[in-house]
Amino acid sequence: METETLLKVEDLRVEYPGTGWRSAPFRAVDGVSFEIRRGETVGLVGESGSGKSTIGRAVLGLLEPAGGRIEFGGHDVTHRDRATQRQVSRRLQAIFQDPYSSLNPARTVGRTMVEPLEVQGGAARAGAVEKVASLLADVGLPEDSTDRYPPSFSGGQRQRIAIARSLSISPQLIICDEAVSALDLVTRAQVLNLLGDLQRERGFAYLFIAHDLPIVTYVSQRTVVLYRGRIMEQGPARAVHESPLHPYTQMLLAAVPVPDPAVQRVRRARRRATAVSTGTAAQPPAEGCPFAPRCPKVMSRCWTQRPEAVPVGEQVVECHLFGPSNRPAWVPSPVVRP
Amino acid sequence: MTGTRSPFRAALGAMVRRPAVVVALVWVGLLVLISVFPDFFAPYDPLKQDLSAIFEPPSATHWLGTDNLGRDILSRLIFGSTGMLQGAVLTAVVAVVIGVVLGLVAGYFGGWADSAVSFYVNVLLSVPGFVIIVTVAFISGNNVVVIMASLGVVFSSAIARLVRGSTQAARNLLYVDSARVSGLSTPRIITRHVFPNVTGPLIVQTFLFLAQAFLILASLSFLGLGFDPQSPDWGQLVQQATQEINDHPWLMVPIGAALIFTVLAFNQLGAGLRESLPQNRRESMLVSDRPRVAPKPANLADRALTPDGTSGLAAPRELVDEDLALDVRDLTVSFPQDAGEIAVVDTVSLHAKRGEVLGLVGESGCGKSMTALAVLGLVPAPGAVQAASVSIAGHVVSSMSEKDRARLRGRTIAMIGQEPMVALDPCFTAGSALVEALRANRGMSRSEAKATALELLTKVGIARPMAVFQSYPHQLSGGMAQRVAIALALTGKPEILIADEPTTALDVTIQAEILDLLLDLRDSEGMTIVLVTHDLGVLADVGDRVAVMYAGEIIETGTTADVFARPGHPYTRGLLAAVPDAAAEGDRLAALPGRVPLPRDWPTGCRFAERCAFRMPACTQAPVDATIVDAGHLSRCLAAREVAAISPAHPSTEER
Repeated sequence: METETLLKVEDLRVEYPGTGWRSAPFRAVDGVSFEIRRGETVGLVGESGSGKSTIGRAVLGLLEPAGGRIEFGGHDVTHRDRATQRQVSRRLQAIFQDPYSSLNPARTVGRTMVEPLEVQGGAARAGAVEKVASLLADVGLPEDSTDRYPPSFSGGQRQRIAIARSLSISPQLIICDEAVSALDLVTRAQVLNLLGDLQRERGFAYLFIAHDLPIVTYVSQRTVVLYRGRIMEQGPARAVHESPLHPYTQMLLAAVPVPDPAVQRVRRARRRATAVSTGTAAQPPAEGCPFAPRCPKVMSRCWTQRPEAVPVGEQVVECHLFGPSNRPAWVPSPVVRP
Repeated sequence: MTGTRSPFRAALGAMVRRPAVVVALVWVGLLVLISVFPDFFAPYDPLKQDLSAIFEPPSATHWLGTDNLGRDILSRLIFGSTGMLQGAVLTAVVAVVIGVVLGLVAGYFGGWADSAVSFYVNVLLSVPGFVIIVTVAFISGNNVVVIMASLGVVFSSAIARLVRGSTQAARNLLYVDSARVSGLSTPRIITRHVFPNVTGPLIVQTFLFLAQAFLILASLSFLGLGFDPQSPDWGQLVQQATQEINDHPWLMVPIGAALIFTVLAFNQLGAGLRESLPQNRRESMLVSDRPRVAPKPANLADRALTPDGTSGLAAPRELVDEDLALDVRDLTVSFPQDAGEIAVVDTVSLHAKRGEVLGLVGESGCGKSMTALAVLGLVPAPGAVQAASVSIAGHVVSSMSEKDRARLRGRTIAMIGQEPMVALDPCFTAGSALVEALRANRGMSRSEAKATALELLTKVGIARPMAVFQSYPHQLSGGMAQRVAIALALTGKPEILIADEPTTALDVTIQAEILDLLLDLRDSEGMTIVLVTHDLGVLADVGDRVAVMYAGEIIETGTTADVFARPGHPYTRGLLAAVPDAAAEGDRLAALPGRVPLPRDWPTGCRFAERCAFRMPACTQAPVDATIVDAGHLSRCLAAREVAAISPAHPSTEER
């Protein structure tokens, strides 16, 4: 595998305007840094409100970052005009969650598929029709699909169309924003297989955004765990799944039920012994760790001081348990509520 | 399927199937034709007087009679239509062009463009249109073109507002995002992806304005404005008819009918067009070619409870009946289609003991939710429900009146859904919803109800019940709203709770808490829970027993432990194998091929056969009966025992 960096996100900040008059903007993404190498899959995982989709939209150029830097293929693409966007879109594509609203119902599948080629014009445009037909075959759709309209396809088939569309211009990076979350179990497995096969054949990279940690672990080489716009932990996908360091990652993993009643009974008992209910959790501190109110291992420092990114083996974790002054071993302190 | 037809042709096809629209289409077509070629259609010169034949009733020579100067009324109607139609079309064109451009710009770009357009709209809407028109008529010296164009400007405000709203909604659609990611230019994004979303309401509004412009034009000339007083326009005809209304009432009939028909036809056509456009139409999933409600030879639950000679089977049905909170036998739900009834739930039998969690699992389109709705008696029209018997907590509801059944809902049996927000009225606080439900279900006073509501909120794990009591639904997070929905379901102290994908829309951490809550309620209240889910992890976590559904049938049932450890149906095995887990990294997932067939395509034999790796010739020949795998564990598969004997489908995740 090549090790060249394809996408580099540095200290990314994205803000949404506040809801009231002169109210402070809401910071949806706060100082996020990560990299994607060529041909690699990086998973972004977190609960709703963690900012994972916002990061994807900023990389796609659908949102203007408030700060930080996005570098794609060696070029700074943080702020882009239409010419830059067209340059970038030659190598960057997206597959969105909802297969029902990501295809225009009034255009045939063929016309939807040709669109990215049209924008690139010239050489890409010639032979577009043949290319579309072969791409549809690659994703396992019948030949006559080009002349049909999206409403006559099932959810899984539409997601295949969206995948074929993103492949039409030979991208280097595809952002999958909850691309399989709306699909049934079996369809999801079929689409995940397809995504894996295509990557092995064509060598592009994925930024795989999802809320389901086992799926992210299955598809990714590296995982980035987000909470309220901040990175809690990142590292090799297997390591994050098998030896999660951050209490938040541990909580996420413990919450996923496994399809084995005997194993799940043990996991349930263990989880209930430690969990802090979200219903009883306090507001997160303005400074400090956003996860503090829900953290079973919270210390007084967590309420006042933002933890720094600390490398632990191959993983990087932002938690005071692993901070410099806490190196020997962490000592659980009583739960402090302001 | 209309898959390969163009949307326009499909729209036309759909329109022609509606008689009212066809009539309207014919009338408007005729109107256009006669207004373009009045000389060809009119039998007489509209201005030709014949004083020897005034006020004649309809006759063979004058089909609609004659007026005070002996002029032929039909000819005057025909010639009059030209100016009317031109004026109305001019108005509509001006209104649509200005309104669409302003609306698209305001809706897509927002910001100052939006403010400017909103100002324009508000100014025009605040001035009475008719005053503007009358003023313009005087200033322009009665120029019809100027008058109708100004009317178009007045109407453009409403169209701009409409288009702005639809554009704002469309701007956030994912396919618009996809186009932006591709680098498509803004004008192309607007014309291709945004504008088509606006067409539905726009068409209706345009036709409404055409009709209105028609009436306004007639009113104007009735007042002596607009057209040349000599011309035979429709307003003139109305005025004449009014003057003679006492002596010659017939004069009002032709012009009145023409105006009414025209206005109705325009409105009808607008509505018809909108409903037939593909983006506004919903394809039915059940389009059927043939009726297919085949009787089943036997059903799973009965077999589970009836001794058939094999040792280790459950006791005879009568002995266990009292323990059953829910007992459904041979439930069929069908929907009428072109060629007859088509079943979407087919001879399903289920039972759940008191305090048991029964999981109903399967992919979408397998009939799980419809089964749950049928148990509640809430199958939407025109669905039909048949069952040998359905009993809920000892009440045989299948023979009950709808009124008695409604009394059971909310008290004996309650439901929570995937979208808790839907269960909560956005206009009322969580507290007032709970208080209302308590007063209705338990006949409490207001103060008692409030105290009980706060108790219930505490019971569902809300730390600050008073704060939630005073909150409106939109102020609650998804998990909090689901807790309130559960509290609402508890107001009637139900014995059975149907939970239809209660955690699908929630984060895993919140899901775990809601599942904890459901189990706690089961333990403390002895509640029976029917959990509809597609998530095998959730099922393994809380289900005591499971019924797996495929294509409208239950294909496997048993305790959760048995079914997960020794799945006796290839479909269940396939579901388990499709779960990605860490152990499978890098490998392809074992995904079943194909997908669940639509109800119209369900075969006579095993419905899973075409996707099955264990298929034998016998599978497709006749309906497959249930086979006993273990005591109380049945599978609708000819090879059930062989399938169950294979090593586990899902390699257990190692404990951590």
